[in-house]
Amino acid sequence: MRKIRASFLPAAAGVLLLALWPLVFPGATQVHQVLGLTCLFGTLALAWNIYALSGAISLGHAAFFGLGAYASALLNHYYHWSPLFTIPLGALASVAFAVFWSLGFRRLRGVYLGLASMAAMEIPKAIVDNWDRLTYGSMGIMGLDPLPTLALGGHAVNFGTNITARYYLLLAIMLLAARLNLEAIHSRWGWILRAVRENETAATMLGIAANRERAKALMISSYLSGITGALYVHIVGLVEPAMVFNLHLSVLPLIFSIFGGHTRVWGPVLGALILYPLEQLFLMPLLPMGHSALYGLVIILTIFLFPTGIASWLPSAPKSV
Amino acid sequence: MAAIGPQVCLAVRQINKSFGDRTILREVSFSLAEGEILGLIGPNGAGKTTLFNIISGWQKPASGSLVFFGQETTTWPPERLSRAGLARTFQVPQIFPEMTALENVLLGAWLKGKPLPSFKQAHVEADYCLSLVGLMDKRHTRARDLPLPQQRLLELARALATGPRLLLLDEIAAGFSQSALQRLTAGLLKLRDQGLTLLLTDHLFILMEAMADRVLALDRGEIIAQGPPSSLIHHPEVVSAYLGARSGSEAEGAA
Repeated sequence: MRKIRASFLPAAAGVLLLALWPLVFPGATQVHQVLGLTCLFGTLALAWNIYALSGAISLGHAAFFGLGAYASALLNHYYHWSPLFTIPLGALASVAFAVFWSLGFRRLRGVYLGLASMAAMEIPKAIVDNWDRLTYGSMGIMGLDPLPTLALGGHAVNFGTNITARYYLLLAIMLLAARLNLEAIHSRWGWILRAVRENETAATMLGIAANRERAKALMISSYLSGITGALYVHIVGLVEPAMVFNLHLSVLPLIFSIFGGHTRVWGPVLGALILYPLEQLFLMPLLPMGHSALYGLVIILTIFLFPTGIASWLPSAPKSV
Repeated sequence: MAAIGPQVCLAVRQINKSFGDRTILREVSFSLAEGEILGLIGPNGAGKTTLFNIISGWQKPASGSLVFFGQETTTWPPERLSRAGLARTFQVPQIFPEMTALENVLLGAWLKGKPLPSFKQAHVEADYCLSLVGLMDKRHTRARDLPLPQQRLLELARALATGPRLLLLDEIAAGFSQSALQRLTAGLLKLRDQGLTLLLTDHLFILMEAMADRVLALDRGEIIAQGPPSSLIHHPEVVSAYLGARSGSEAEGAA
């Protein structure tokens, strides 16, 4: 159950590739920017996946993304705290929402949970949209502080302006999220989640409190999603309700995970690494108007051709003990 | 560990349950001594499964109480009862379909006990439980690929791996061959000798005769008779509840 998996080697090669390519193409800042955001959305997909590992398919993770984004933005705007603190603090707003979610949706499963979660995103969105005196409503907040400059090993690294440095930061965060996913798959807790996912009744007979374990997964998932939302608004420098409380962001992790295969940790990452740059760097320049149709086509083809996700191409790990 | 004389494992006191205006269980009371094997018989709709669900925490009684090894457990959720040492199987076996047989049973052993066992200990325990039910040669088969009777055995093996003090078996032997039945009976009797208490329902009276110390006959939610299995076969109320107008001769084979 806890052996080093056969997919370790290609994964390590992939990480090395991601870490080294900016050195090979130092001038390609647009590509660095896109791949940085790829890592950010890959992190969101991995965050979503931790909840999915408990058997819950959420269509409302934009709520966590948006709450983390707004909480961090508001703290930064009103108190002028550095994003270094507002990002981890802001993501706590997402966790608070996750508590209500866990209580309110504890009896929902499957499609019903998906629909309820999709609707749930509208609640924080409506509040943010209408609380003009605090949030400036649909105008949003502009002029947010960029990511801070940090002293790393004697060098001052500006994550706000140095796009390559930011890429490495976002890559590191994604790898951390991947590490968390590995934990949520292979540890004892990971097996508890798998039990809940496969058969809740049987899991209960092993003494597992299914709802509590699912809630734990959601707490971690929502915090990480909040972090990605908060990072995002400090990268683009502004926040608007429609930008962060956006159904597209809720569906993105699902697309990445279905594309990549969600019970393997590299599935969502692979989905993000292929689909996001594909859209941003190739389909958009190629077809400025109809690129999303092409994007949709790629996804549909994947579902038909690789129903278990393209991560099934990776050498299969010995799944048994 | 064991006190002087057998301890009461489970006391069921005046359990009532109804769905709408239909009474499912009426004033059901009995108790189970540690190490006892109690059979529960009754025609379809007698309330056997509801009683099982109430004892294992999946349903709550309208009134009455349950005491499990001295602790009042009436309001406990099923996972808490399970942690306290109550295991059960279901009529439709509840397995982890995508896991192998071994993984199914291993999880049972790995997640239970204080302190939690090491992976290696759990593995040894899982192998033992698989061999007990005769599934060693299927250990690497994916659970959902097993035929239904073997899924029942797998569920039983996983239940045993949790180290239960009381085991409820709901029609475990449905679809079993004669030899499988004999092995199951022998295995369960062996576990009883190690202190396991058993409560079982089954349509096969043979299983009751071979194993049960005592049998309760349930009809329309009420206990209508109890006693050693041999005495119940000819009990007039039991015979009529089961067979209605038909002759008593079939009661020998099918209960």
